[in-house]
Amino acid sequence: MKLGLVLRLVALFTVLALPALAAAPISDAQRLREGLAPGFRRPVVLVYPALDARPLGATAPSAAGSELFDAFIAALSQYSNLDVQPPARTLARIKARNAWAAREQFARSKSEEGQEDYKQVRLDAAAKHLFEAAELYDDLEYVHVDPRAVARTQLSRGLALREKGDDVDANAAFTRALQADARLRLREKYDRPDCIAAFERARTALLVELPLPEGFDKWPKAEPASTDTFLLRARLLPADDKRPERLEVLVIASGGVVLPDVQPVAAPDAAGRLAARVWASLPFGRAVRDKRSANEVRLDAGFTWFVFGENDLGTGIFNNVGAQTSFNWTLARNIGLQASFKVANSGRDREEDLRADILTFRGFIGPGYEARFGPWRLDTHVGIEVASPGRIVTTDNVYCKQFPDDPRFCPEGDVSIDDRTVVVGAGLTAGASYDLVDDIYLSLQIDASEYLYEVTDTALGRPVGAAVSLGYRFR
Amino acid sequence: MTTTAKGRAACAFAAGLMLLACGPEHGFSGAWKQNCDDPAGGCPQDGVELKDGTVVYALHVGRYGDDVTGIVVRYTGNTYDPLAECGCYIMQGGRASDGDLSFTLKLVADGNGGGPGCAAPDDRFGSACQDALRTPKCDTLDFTLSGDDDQLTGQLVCNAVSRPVQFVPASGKTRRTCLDGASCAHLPDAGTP
Repeated sequence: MKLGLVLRLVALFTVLALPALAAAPISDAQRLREGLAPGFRRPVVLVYPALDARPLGATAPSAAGSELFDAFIAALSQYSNLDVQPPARTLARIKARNAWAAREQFARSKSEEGQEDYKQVRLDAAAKHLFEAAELYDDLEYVHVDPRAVARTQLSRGLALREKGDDVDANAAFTRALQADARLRLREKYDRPDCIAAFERARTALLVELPLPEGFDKWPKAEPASTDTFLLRARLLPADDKRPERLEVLVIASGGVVLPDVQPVAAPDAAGRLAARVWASLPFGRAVRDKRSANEVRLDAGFTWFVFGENDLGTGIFNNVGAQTSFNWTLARNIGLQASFKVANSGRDREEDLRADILTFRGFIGPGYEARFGPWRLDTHVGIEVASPGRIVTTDNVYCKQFPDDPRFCPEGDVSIDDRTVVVGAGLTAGASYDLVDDIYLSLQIDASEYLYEVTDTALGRPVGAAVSLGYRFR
Repeated sequence: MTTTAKGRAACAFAAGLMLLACGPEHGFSGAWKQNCDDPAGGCPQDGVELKDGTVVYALHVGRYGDDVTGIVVRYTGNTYDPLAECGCYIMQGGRASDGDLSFTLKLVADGNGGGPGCAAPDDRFGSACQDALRTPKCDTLDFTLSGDDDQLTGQLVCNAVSRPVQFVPASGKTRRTCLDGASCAHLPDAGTP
């Protein structure tokens, strides 16, 4: 009875008291006040230049909108846990992408070709080339780099389509032209009246709906996916009968939109409140230990292939393919310990003297040297290998291969059988791994071993092979 | 990377691919029958009386690298009906390369383990078949064929007389047994290679 009471009290204490004894969670604001540890991994926020949609309206935009955007970026940069990249650096990052300059040149040439086609009234060719240029510009995120060039391309495309009679696509092109450059207008007496009317309809429709420009809320294909990087895109929206001028902000992660928010330009402390909301929507970041520090553990699994370099069976070389898992532990800077386990099944030699698959288990453990170069890590280990090649059945009598169960053709002595054995030897590995994203890496390793002790004689030895694996780093 | 280094890397890569490509050589393995839809198939005319050359052959080939063995089953007339089976022989001295296949059938006991295949001991195949088994026209039949996995064309040589034959792949499993030794007891030799 007393025991039952004691157990109930212990249970009650566990439920009520232990959570209270645990450390209270610390807010992000408090963590920010306490300061960040050295090597703190800050979320990167790539701020794009704000697209100004205000000139769509009749009234001239105020200077307060641009000032609000600048103040918002300044306020966001005050949060020291974020790595805020201002628009100029974001554009530099875009232009640093692979073959960007060549692709930009190609897109511009397509646009010029299309506009020349339009001048020469080659409407089909103009529509085609301008569409290709627009697609290329989209891939380059060129609307953030040179919005007027994108707008000109889309406008010419819209005019060509309109003259071709394709009004639906023409209207879409006019809309995209205005989304790139809201100041764009057609001129009376210079452009066709029906084109001017269609263009104006597209502008007034935009003013009502203000849809997001194409790709505005999407992660660009050219930007590597990352859980630590976020895009911040903004638009300045025009005032209308019901709403004042306002700043719209989108925070975009590689998985989708994190935060859409809008603040009136004239609202008190709009910049501070917008920055606070963006900051609250983003992860705080995390403390990162020195990558070369001790106790980093990497675990990977993948495929292995090897051949036995020493083969006294009289068969040709045969492949062994299977699965492997590897455990790497960084003990100290540049010093690590590796343990791996492989299981593989053999194929057959060309003559098929090997009559049954050989199931081989291989285990390895040994210390080694590791070095890291950016996302690359190179390592080499020397250690002990313990292996167990499976049952080996061989014959060089072709009749034993075709008629194995007929003693008239296959005498008993013509088939050799070696049972499973265990061997011990020295092993050497060399590998390289590449960080794919965050703590996930791809590893390629080659290995070779020399068997020094055999429990029972085996005709196989000196395995040489490779392994490719996908792994995760625990820190 | 210099040109030489690139060349070495390419060679190492190619060598690795070649090593991975090493594996069993199975070409020609499987069941084949004479192509009786084509005059080049060497099949007999209907109604011709049974003697050597008035039979058709089915090959059940097992290739292991350069070595070949298997079973050749002989049928009377122009049919592969099991009831028309008249002799089953083990391929001997079989060799194969990329496009060539050759082997020998021993139709009589040679005192060195070679011998005829076996027909059923009863008379269900008729006396003509039994006579043909006991007194073949030649001691050995040599097949020399060439082709690919879709067709084998060549010569069948009996007593220095050759005739053209053509084989095409046959459906069904590759046969690996003639009749057992007891069934062959009535013949001069049990048919060991």
